[in-house]
Amino acid sequence: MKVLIVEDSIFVQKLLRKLIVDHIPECEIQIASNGEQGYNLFQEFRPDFITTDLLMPGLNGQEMLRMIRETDSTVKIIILSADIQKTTRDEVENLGISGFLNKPLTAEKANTLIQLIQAAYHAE
Amino acid sequence: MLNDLQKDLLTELVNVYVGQAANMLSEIVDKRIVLNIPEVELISISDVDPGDRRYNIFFSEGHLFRSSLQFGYEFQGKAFLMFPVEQAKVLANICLGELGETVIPNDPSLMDTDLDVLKEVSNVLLNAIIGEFGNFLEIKLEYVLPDIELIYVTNSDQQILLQNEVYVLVLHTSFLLADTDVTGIIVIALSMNSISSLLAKMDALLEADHG
Repeated sequence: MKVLIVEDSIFVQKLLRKLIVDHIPECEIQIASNGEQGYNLFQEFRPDFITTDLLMPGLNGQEMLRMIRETDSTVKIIILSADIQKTTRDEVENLGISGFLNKPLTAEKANTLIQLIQAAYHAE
Repeated sequence: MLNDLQKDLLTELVNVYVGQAANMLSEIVDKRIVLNIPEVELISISDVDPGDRRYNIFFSEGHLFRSSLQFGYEFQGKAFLMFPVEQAKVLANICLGELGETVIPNDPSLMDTDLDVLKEVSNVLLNAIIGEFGNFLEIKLEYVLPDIELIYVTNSDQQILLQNEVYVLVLHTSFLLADTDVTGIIVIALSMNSISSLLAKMDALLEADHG
């Protein structure tokens, strides 16, 4: 199981890595700090699951998502963003995502995220 | 500039939005947040008397951590969240402690890791408030990446920080983390066009409500 974390906050990167490793230790994790790095890693690493922020320096998460969906409609993508606008959610949902979680990552949302990754894992 | 009904509705909206943001902060730090009743003022910077405590929104003289989130296009402005630096350090330590990171007690200096945490926390809080304005107005707000600064404010320049904005929607809102002395203040500066859009939407709502 390969997971790509795309997130500009080091704090949240660490939080997500710890969460995933604690629950699914066999996961292979790569981390990108913006959409451009995320897209490059998507091409090299070929993850099964991507969790991405939206507002990031350079290429943002929504643009990265659009680029990924031009060539890959199967990789599971979860948005983890502070943006609570309905219009934003509608736009990214139209691009094909498996879920949208608003920050902060509470215990309940963390549980949802892990369940989604595990579901993707067992679907392999 | 605001009539009583407009002020009442705006206060209610802000109350709800700040309450949601405070709830998010509470989830991050696992502490209760004590909210003060928000006071909303739409003011012209030129009308501000620096001696008026109601507008003394930048605490007292000293170093501040200030985070800002700029937004546009149809609804333009900038939102600020500010903490005195020593309180920002306490907040960062609480967050890093939640993550299991080692923190050095009584070290007042803000390290890169602290700034990263504070930027993320501010981003969540300001998005929670500004995003709801976007939802209320039924428009999409585009954000510029949040910015953080450490600034020194003297008593004489407390108002100058917002001099580029002619009108400012001031949220006299502060919140306190329970068991700490961490107090933050939120200020939103809006362009004149944005204020007009907000008032038009509020008036339509009030009109519908009152027939």
